[in-house]
Amino acid sequence: MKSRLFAGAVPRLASVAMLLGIWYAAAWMPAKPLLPPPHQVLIYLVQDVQKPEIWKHLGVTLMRIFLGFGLSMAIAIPFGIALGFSAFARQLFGSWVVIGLMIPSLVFIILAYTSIGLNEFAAVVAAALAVVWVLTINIWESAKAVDVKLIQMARAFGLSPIRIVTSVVLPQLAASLMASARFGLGLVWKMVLFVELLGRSNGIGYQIEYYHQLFDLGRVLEYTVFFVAIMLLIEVVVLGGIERRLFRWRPAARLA
Amino acid sequence: MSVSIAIRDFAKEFQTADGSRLRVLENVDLQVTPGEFVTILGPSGCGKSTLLNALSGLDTSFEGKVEIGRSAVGAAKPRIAYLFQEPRLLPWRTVRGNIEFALDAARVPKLEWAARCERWLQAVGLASFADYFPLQLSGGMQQRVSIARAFSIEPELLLMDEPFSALDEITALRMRQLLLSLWEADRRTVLFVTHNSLESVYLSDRIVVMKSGPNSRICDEIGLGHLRRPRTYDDPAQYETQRAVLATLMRYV
Ligand SMILES: Nc1ncnc2c1ncn2[C@@H]1O[C@H](COP(=O)(O)OP(=O)(O)OP(=O)(O)O)[C@@H](O)[C@H]1O
Ligand SMILES: [Mg+2]
Repeated sequence: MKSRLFAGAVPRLASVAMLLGIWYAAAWMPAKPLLPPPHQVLIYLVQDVQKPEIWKHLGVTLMRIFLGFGLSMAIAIPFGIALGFSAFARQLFGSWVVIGLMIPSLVFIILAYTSIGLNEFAAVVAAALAVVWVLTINIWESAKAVDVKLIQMARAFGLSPIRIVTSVVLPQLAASLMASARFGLGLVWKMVLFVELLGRSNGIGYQIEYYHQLFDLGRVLEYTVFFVAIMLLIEVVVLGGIERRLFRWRPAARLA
Repeated sequence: MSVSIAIRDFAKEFQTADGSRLRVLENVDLQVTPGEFVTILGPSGCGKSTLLNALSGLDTSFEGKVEIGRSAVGAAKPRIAYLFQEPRLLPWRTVRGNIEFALDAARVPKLEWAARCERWLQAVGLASFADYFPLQLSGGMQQRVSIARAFSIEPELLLMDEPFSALDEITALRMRQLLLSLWEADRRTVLFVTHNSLESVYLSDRIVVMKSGPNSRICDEIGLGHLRRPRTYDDPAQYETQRAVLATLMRYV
């Protein structure tokens, strides 16, 4: 038990130390007076998390992320499954997805703001549009791997087509949907910062841009570190927890 | 409780990769009376699974007529259970969950689920494994779950596509015994596919032999009324019959 817990502790500690070392070295280089050392960022952070301001910005950003993420998944799941299973859907929408994937995210953000307006809804749509294509392709790929034999079994027992999707296809897709969800969330939150920077007046992305204008790199890094830490927590605790619960049936879970 | 089967002038073509058409089955005729255990014996690739797929309703694009029992009268669709070569259990559901899945699909009222799970898991000797996941069971146990699942919906017709051919010999012997003891309790119509002549003789009332494809059809028929039930593995009459069945089979490959 002990050896497992501490296995690799030395190289991991060394990796953190090295990172901090590089940061300090860069901060103390005479040519770069703007980059603050890590402890300065930490001090900012400790001060700011005691004030409501940073939490307020976090709240709006998280809201946009979850709405954008939810919207993109709600579109990508049915389309991805349809593309995986139906030749007709592939002929109809296959090229849309490929083209959508090629269009730079910036274009979608500009399009959303100019056609919908500079509002919350446009921000969510922009974030969703920027990532929905790659998510759809992801789910499309995994739909190809669904076990047709189980579908046949369900049909032979007389299960209705809708129930086959919900009880046989979706559970098989769950693993790859989970992977897509993690991947999608990672993409959406980067897009949301971009979306905020281009057209909102609050949120973490806006704050980062604001401090950038003031050349306050310490605050920029403070917001970045804060936000990354929160997203990491969501990723590991929330999504990781769901994943463990969802895949109890796997043999790996039995060996553990 | 059980249904009859009438297959008349059945034919099936597949589109092959190069665009031409492959006529797998032609002029297939088969009548099965209610409660009869009929085995289809034929070489690999002759179209046995193809025929079962048509009977089960999985495949609807064939020529000819396929009638199952009272469905012709316009009554509710007959209850069909299909046992495959592999267990085909849903790995994310427990053993009980898998049986409930079939009960749900077959529209068995929820009130009966617990009793039926209990009864059929008991029947296949897996009552204490109800809360296991399939991947926690051996291959033979998984196939027993799939047998319990098939019987649990109390089907009027059981279609079995080489359900024991992937098992080791000892397990397969036990499974055949189990199958017969379950079947003899309330004889449901069974159409059983195999290429094992010994298995076909041990299990069935009648064997129909298919020739090798393409254009395969049923070309011979062997009644087994002279073999008494319950059957045992050490009945010499069975060995005699098996030799005759094997000789017949060899004539058509
Ligand atoms: N979907 C399909 N498309 C094209 N050809 C098919 C298809 N399904 C089956 N066939 C062909 O039909 C023939 C019969 O197949 P089938 O699976 O019914 O044989 P089988 O008698 O069940 O063989 P086995 O005993 O090996 O299971 C084979 O030649 C096979 O290649
Ligand atoms: Mg077959």
